[in-house]
Amino acid sequence: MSVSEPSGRDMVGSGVRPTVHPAVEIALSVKEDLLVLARLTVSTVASRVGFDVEEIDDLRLAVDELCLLVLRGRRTGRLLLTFASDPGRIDVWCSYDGADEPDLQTNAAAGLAELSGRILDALVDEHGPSTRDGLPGAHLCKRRVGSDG
Amino acid sequence: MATAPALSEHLDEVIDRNRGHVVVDLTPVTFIDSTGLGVLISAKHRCDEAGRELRVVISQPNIRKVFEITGLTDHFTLYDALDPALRA
Repeated sequence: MSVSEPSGRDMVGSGVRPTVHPAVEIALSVKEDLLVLARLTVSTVASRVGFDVEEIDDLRLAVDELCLLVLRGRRTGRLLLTFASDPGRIDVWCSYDGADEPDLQTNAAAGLAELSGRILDALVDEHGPSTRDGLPGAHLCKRRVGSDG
Repeated sequence: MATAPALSEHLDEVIDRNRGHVVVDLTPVTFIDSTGLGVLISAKHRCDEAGRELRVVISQPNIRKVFEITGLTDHFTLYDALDPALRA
């Protein structure tokens, strides 16, 4: 006889209340170089839903790169991040709120964006552009190894 | 991202003031992103143009992983420890 832990989705409708963690939202001033807070937040959220040490390391870098892709060289404004999780999965949305224009023109900027893309391809299950509350940004999703989420 | 400008400035100084090969010791580095990699790539271009070698020392597995997933292990001369990089 084998016993498996139901995922959050399996538990819906069963009368057993799934563990739902509320989304975490943070706003970071671009001027202050505060991406470390984005990395700390994703570490905390991911550890709460069972990601292992290596997966958390991957998520720290992935969130950092997500922010850099959204920033695209902008020097002012804010980054708005939302971290949503359930057992086996974490989603992160990053949006830019400000008036600065992105640097899309230089070869250096294009090269860095390509590096960010390669890193995200390797570390997360999904990533791409997104718009949230009318603000431009990007999204990533990572599923815990062995989860059905 | 936060320390990349300082790294870039320091590497420029080292490349300008010295004539030999350049060794970048990432042993104490615990995190690197595309911004940091971009600084290293630019420094390597400058060294290549000057006929000099840029050697990078990486001992942390998570730092080496970033080089591997970006394909930069083929682009840089990498060492596991500082001594061999200095003596090579």
